[in-house]
Amino acid sequence: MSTQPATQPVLDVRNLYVEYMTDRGAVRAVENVSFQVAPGEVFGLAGESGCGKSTIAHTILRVLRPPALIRRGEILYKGIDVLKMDKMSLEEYRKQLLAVEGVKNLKNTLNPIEAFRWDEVSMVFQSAMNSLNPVIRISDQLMDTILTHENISKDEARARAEELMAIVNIDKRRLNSYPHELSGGMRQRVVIAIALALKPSLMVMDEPTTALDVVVQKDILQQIEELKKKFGFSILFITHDLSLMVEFSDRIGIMYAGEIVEMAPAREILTKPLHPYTQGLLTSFPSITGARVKLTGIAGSPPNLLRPPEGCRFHPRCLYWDKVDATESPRLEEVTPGHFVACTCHKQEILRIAAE
Amino acid sequence: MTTIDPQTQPGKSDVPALEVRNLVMRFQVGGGARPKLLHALSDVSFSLNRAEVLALVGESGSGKSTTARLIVRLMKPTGGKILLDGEDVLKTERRKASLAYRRKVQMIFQDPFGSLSPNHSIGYQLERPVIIHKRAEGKEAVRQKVYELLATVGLNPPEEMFHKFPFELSGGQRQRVSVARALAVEPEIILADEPISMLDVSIRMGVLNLLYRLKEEKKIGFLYITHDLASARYIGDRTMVMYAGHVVEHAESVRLMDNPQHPYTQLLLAAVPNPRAGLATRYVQARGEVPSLIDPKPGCPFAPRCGKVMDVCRQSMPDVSTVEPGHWLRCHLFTPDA
Repeated sequence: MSTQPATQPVLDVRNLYVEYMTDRGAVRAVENVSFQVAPGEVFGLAGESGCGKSTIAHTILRVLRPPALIRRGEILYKGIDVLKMDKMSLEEYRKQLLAVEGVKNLKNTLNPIEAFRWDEVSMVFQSAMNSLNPVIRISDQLMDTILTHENISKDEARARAEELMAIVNIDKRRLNSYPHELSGGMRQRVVIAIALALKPSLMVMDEPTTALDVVVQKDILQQIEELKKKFGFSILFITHDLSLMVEFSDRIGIMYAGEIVEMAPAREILTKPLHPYTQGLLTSFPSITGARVKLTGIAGSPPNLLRPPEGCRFHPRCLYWDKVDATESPRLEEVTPGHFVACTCHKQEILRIAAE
Repeated sequence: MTTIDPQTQPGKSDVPALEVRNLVMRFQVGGGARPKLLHALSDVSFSLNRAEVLALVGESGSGKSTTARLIVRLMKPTGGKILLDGEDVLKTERRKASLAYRRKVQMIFQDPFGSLSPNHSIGYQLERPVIIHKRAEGKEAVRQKVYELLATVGLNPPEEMFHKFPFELSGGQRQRVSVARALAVEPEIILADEPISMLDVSIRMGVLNLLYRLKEEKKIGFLYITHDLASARYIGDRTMVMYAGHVVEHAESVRLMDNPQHPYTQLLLAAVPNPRAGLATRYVQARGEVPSLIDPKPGCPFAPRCGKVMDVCRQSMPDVSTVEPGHWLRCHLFTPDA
């Protein structure tokens, strides 16, 4: 039931289940999620707030803490199981990594998870204001990242920091600044520079431009696009803004209430949305061009995941819900090559549209 | 859904419900011997009629919210006039807005989580304005009025919603309560400051459609403040673009977005994600960001980023040029009106 890109994926998430334990029971935040990210690909996860996008990102980087609990599943980074790294020794981790990558100049003081995080997969958080330390100079924040991971001298680290600033188009004199002295767009570029510092193969970007104005947003995305071409990393791109997502990603997974309900190449999500939720989501964004037509959005609101609806989690809001099938939980199925949908009651119609 | 009414310059027909003339707002920043001035709003003028939506768009810090706060009179402007039904309210009224003013001008805030009291039921919060503004008399009548309000904004069944507390409602439902509260006094004008930006995407259209219906049915004039150009085009009859405290362009919404004239509006529109066009097709030309509003340099605030900048742009702020009826802008590339 998974797509098979020609080469080995950088990231392969298989049947992931994550819960948050609360006083009132378990919040089933991520339910049976599977997807893959190919080398050099931008894979987008789109969905509304609370649908589990960020939980997935945090799981991949192993930064989830209790009360979050990874129930089941596998996350394979180039074939190495990220969820089993706790039990690995650094030696073992090195050996496994050596099989898929070249030698790395890693420090011996790290444990495998620490070594993996940032060296292999780094993250750009939503709010640059909160992800930079306000009382530490930009230079130290960049150099810390490098020095924590690699056996190199301070001078070398400083040179690398200057290089990184040049890569994201900021004058190197700004290295001596504190975060508050930079504009919002510059701060976000510094955060990207820090994410690039150790040349990871995958960058997780969780709403990287949501807090920015549209003009700056466009500028930053173009820059990320250029950097991606230059360094060849993959991106897991997370946002609720579907227009942005379609414009920026190669493939998209649409999430609703903790599940992926549709997965397809970006263009197809736009031109041939098959799941009723995706169709509804596309009618929630007015267009900047064309005739003004009345848009409806989707009636109702997302469910409480303490007690998610039985069967298909979207059924209480679905236009096509056929009461008979309500108890059956739909599985993601491939309807045309590369296009997956999880829907049972609307299936005939989906197959008909897909065949067109 | 388009009913286009390009009522633009004041004095064209009857007196507009709300008119703002040359509004200026400066904030003092820093103390000491030489305090600096932050120019939040410079020379903002527009009018708003009943039964129309005027969209005010701009990036953060462009002065959108300051405009709303001045009109709802949470702050006193440094200069300029605010005319309600032709009367200068800053002259006739005391320092704070009177009940009579609030009965006509109401506001909906961005954050539906912060703008409702968590300690009181929805019913209580909606009864207060009804009682204070005497929109109904007697316990039973007040309650009926609140039920009516809840039904109007689509919170059904009203009898049940009346007893709920904000924490029991979703973001979209809360924002509907905020709309109901603004409606309670039967206002002429509602200022809506980013009313949908904190809501889940799938329920945003529901709230926007509600505002549109209220405009049509209750003939309310809306000042719709947003940074989202697509939603301004969707609901706004007219759109005004602000940059660094100045209104730089104004036109009927669809005209403006299809045919922007000011270089800033063009830049803004090119930056809006448009999946049907693709990222590479429209490269953003101007890099850089909004200039500091503290002791700004003379001239057009967009000059440092503008691709078509001329010498004159750095010397003086351009006057209004009308390119076609209802479509005007402030840019030196155009000949100013006589």
